[in-house]
Amino acid sequence: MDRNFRVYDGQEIIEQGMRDVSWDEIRHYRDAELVRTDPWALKDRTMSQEKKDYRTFLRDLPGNHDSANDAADAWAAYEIPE
Amino acid sequence: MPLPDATKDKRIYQLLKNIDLGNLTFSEFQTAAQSVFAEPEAEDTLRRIVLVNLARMSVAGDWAGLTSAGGGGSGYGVLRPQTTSGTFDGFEVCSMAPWGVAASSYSPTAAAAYPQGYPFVSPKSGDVARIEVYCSTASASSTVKVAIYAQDETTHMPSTMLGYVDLDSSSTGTIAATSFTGGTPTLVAGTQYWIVQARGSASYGSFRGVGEDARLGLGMASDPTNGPNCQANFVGDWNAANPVDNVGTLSQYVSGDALRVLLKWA
Repeated sequence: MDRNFRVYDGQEIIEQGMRDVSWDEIRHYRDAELVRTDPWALKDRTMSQEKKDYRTFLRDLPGNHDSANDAADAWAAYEIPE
Repeated sequence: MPLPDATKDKRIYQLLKNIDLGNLTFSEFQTAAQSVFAEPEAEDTLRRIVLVNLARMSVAGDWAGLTSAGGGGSGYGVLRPQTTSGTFDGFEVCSMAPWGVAASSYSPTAAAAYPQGYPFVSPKSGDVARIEVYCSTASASSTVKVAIYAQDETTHMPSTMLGYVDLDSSSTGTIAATSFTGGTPTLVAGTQYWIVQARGSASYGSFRGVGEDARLGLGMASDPTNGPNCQANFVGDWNAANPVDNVGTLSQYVSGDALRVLLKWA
């Protein structure tokens, strides 16, 4: 979740910054990401430790961060395994 | 003429005397009419209230029936709930009725080299002030073009381009553009338009979109196995250097994700 935003007037950036996100938004995209990565855990596949760690990171987002913005920033910085 | 046994009463005309029927919104009419008590003494005004609203709806556009608020207001055709959050000030056209779906997926879509588009019904009248997309995977020196097209009255396909924006996708996050090339699109609530997008550069980023499987279809197919086909390819080379004024005729229904586009009015 990248909180960066940029507003252009033609080629010129007239506003930029970090928008605030809510826990509802984090949960919305976290749940969608867990659904997207569910196939990693199919019985006939072996999930790498990186993928396990990533899914654990997603599940622990609310518990490991005091604010939704912090959680979003941590998620944006996470190197997502392919 | 007042009713035979009713006291003559022109209050509703006096309350609305400075607004002509063509500009009288349901909200304005409702505000005036709500001030009248439902009592026998107001019988004549009650009759005139019905007459005024009937006249208002008669001149405000397509007849929508007495159970609808009619034209002059949203004109959207369905009753779109009004959000109460001040931060929800944009319209995500890919997720609005009748063509849209709830954009619940987190699907990234790569900008195509050729124009693709989908229809939407404008929820609001006026000049579009801002277009926003979300870039999920950046690419150096890349842009995506997002245009709004009017619809041909006969074919219901895109006709005149009302304006487009170039959105810089060289870094991730929300990208907004406030100035348009080719004119500022002025939309009319309840009218169908098209969102059309294409790469604006040889390199391209990925954007948040509605996944192919989640898209609502345009209803055209060659056989029952066709996937959802709301998004359409167009004939015409809408390339980076020379975006054309017309995306041309429909080429084919294609697979792919629909770009999530947020429109904001001033």
